[in-house]
Amino acid sequence: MSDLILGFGAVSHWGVLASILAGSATGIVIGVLPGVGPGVAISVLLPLTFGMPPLAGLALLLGVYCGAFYGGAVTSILLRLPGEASSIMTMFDGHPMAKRGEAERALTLAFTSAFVGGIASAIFLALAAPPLAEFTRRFGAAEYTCAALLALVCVGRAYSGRFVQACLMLGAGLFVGTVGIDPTTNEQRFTFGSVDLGGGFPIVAVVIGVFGMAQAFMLMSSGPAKKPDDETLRHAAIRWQSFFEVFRYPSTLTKSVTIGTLIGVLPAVGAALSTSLAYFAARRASADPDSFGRGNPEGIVAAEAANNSNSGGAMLTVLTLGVPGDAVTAIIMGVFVVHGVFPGPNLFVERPELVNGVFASLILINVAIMLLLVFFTRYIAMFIRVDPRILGVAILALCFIGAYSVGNSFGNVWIAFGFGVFGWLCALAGLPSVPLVLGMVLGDLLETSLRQALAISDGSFLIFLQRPVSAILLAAIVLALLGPLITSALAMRGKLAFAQDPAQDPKQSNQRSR
Amino acid sequence: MDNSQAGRTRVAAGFSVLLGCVAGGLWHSAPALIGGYRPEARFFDSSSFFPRTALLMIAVCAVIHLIGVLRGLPLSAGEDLDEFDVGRGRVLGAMLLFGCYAALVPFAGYAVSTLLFVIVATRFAGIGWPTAVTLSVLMTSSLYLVFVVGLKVWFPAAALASWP
Repeated sequence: MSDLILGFGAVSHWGVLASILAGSATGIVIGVLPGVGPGVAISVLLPLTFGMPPLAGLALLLGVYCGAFYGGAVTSILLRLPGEASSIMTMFDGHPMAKRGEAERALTLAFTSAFVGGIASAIFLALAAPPLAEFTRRFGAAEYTCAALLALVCVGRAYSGRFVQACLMLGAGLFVGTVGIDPTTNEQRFTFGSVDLGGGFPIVAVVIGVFGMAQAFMLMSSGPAKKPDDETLRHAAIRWQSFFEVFRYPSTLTKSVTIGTLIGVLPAVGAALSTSLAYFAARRASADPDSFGRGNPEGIVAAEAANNSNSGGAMLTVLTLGVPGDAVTAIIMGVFVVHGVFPGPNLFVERPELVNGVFASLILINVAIMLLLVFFTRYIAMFIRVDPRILGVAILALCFIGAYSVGNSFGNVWIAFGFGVFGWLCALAGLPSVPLVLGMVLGDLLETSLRQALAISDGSFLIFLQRPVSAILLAAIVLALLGPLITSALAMRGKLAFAQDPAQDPKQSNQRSR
Repeated sequence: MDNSQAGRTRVAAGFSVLLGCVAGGLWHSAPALIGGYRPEARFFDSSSFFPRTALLMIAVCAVIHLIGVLRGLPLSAGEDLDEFDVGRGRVLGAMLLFGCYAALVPFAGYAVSTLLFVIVATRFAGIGWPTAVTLSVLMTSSLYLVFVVGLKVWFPAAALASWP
């Protein structure tokens, strides 16, 4: 409790409070805008934080991150156009409700569920982070190696059905991260004699290119978006009678918040999976599962509570281990690094006001977003009409100055441009770009700790088995890698058993009993 | 398979081959591309250990991806980027425009280049003159005020004039 009070003390500065408000408002608008996600927005806004104190910069980007979750619900419910992938499940029940004239009720349910999820996940983060940081403070090189490896494997596994493509991009990220001066031996790697590349590829320029520019090129070349009519936008408002309706579904709310928070901790899995897991869990537990997808308010509660409770979980590993869970938290981690602050267990001892300030900011951000939505939902919904082509041009202009401002260097603009073209080609070739950024961020930690661990053990890999925590993490890596193979092998064995003895097949037994 | 899908498959296959070849080439010539490379260093002390492992990962995965693409693997950027149904020619045009903008700034200065870029890019995107001019003036002035005046981002004087 005293930690949170310290955090609120740290954020009670006009600069931080203004950042919270500006970030929250921008985030909601980003969630509403067509074709622009939080990744694009945060990558182009990142250079703005260079001139800010670290907490103000973090509050701005966290506001965008959380605000986008709320904003995505507006287009899902009103237009059946999910602004983010994580808003798809909200659309299933939200849009049918809007069609039968209950748009205000659906929006209110979505916002209040997201609010409960956001506050619960911020409290979870504030409670879970200090003990986890205390535990990870005992980590040595071997444990950090295994933690980074586990994060990489989870990133690969998160792309179900595209594991190879994710691994390709992780490899690309790991390699791109090695360009520049080797931190251990001071040898220049793959710089081709360029002084600019001596410090490596700046993460901000890479992120601006891969997310901002690649998306902007596509937006600029797209056609005009279909504009909604005034009648649809007239229903974008809060319904006071439904403000506490969310608490009529305590079991769904609790289950969804738990799922969202826990999934948020897993690297790269993201909010989209947590919303679908929470939605189907609610549907399974419901007395009337058939009403889901036809405008059941419980569906909205499940999806939105899980969606917004991701943020706390995703920040947990960044703060305690320096391991980002997704591209957005990887970019947010960049704000720490730019200001010379390195996330990890020592941060809790060295900069407690910053860590607790993040916890307090997350709580205040959710309150600020809720207030903005209560008063301005109708006006925010107007942003649906913005032409994506104009957005594309504006983002490109922002990308130029954003990349240039990294070091007042035209070289960084060309690096960002190169990665923009690369990002577009990757999209065309069916290769995901998030693992590239995560590989780049995690590669530094992985290489340093791996080489340290091997130097301690004189080159023996047994060091990873001799220490209990690293051995457990290694077992988790093996399980994550072999899990799908074991599951499919068991399923095959089950099918074979049924084929040999049809009496064991539950489906056939059921048919016979009927 | 329609023409556009076939074209995309060709691009994906070509890109996979390129990635695999670049990774293989860099893996092979890594010792020459590392300044002060010590061949006698133990594997974990060597500067090439980690980048070569990453390059091997790229090369192997690029080959597997190529096989998948040739066997008709559905191509999608997933949730990482919103894909629009856009012509590749138009995207290349947008890239060319941005490249010209980046090249123009050192000569014409930031403000003038941005003003020109936003007008030309907005017109290229198919938007009318009034919006293009208004957007250009608004974007340039707000970016200049926020970054150059507010955040003190410094630009060298334009080579062709004395303004920044």
